[in-house]
Amino acid sequence: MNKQVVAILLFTCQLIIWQAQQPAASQIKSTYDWTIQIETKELNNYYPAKDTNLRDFVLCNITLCPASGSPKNYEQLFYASDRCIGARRINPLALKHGDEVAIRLKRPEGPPSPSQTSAAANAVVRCLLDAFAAGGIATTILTPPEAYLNTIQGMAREKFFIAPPATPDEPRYSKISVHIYSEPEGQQDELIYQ
Amino acid sequence: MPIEEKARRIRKDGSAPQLPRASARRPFDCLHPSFKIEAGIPRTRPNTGNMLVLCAAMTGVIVTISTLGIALEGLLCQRGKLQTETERSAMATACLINTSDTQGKMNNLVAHSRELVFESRTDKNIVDSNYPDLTSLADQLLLESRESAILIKVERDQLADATAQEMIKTVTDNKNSFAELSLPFIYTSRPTIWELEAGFIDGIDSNVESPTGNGELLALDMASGYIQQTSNLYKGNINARLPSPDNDLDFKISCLPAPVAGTTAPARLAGCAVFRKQALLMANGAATGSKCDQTPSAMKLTLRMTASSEFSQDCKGTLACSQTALSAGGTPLP
Repeated sequence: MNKQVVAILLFTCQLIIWQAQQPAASQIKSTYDWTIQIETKELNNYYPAKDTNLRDFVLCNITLCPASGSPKNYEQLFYASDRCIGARRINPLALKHGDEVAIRLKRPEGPPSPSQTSAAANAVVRCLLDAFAAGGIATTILTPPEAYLNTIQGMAREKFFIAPPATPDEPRYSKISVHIYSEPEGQQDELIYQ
Repeated sequence: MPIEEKARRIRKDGSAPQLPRASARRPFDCLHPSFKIEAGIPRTRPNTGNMLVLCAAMTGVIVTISTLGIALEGLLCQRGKLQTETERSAMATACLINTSDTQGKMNNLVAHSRELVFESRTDKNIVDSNYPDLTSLADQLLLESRESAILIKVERDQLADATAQEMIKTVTDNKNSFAELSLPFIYTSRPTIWELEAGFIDGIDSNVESPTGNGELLALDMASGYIQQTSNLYKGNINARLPSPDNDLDFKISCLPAPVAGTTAPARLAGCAVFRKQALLMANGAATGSKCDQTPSAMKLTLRMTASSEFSQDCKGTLACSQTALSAGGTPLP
């Protein structure tokens, strides 16, 4: 009897320890006050002028999706030669102070080109700043699993790097920190601005 | 013996009486010539005059007048052909000004670049006041926006120069089947390029829509007079500078017909009265090296030919024809 009790207690302790070592089942909230959805689209041969340095045009359509209500077109960002060259605001950013915001990258049609990946990362950063400037709390980036690594590389070009593992004796100096998750879940990281 | 008795006697005898002198009044002059012949009276005619010469002279006059008429008609025909050739060349050149809507897209890129700088500056101002921890990120994005605006400006200037060069090349290379005219009294040469002017059509705005989704920028542009309130389009041929500290950046938007209900305006001929010159690209057939400050959307071509006559070396003149053509308009945004 005592042996059985001890065995059960040991098993229970191991189970508890094992559970503690596992990450949380889901750290993505099911609902945010706002979800900013970014969709990239290549514009082939958009500006066919001779001897131009503007190439690889990409259009980012940014949509505001409230927790309840219909989505609205927010902005269009134009990219060429891997840099943002223009913006066209369609509707104002209707965030209130303290609203939680997630930024979601929509899966493009077909495999994304390097230009699309670069444009998506820059669009994420611009949406982050817009959300912060409007008083929102934007700490989550959601990306398709197949674009996860490319997105992290793109964010690195925007000076958002994967945070080193936190240690209790070393402080981390970073003013901006966001979490990036793949959707469906499987991958996640913390990015900090340096 | 009376004259009638003498005339009767002649008829019977067949001998002609002695006629009185021609200066004397001859009563039988009133007789019909056939009576005179029967009476044996010789016919009297004046010795001066020659109908053959008269006919020949008149024929010569008629031929000369006809030849002059034909020559003048030929001159008028050449004038008409010159007008047709000018229209054809102008239209061919206008079709090349905005191929693939490069000018329309550049106008939109300039406007979007301007809006990007404006938004980046607005975010920076907010962040500097309320969220100083985000200043570095705002500075990074603002710097990228400004650099992109400079890049767009360089591309726009390049497009304006390339458009002018393309117009000169097209007009110069344009082959025509215009033949010289060589007629009696009139000679005309082949047409040559006299002037090529680049410009725009008065009263046409740009193809860029006003930023209705950006309230602050819209209010700023309305107050600055950049937007045509009746059409909600940016005015043409403007430099829509932003307020300080971004007023060092150029945002030049040129005239171009905007699409209407999704339909792009085609290239077409226009009257010379509505053409406004920006630069004289060619004069006396040679390029002048002038540059356009704004990308041209219309052109005016003048061809000329000389007409001369062999009557006199001083008898020569110049025929000139001018024609204005407008490029195709902008296409709708994607």
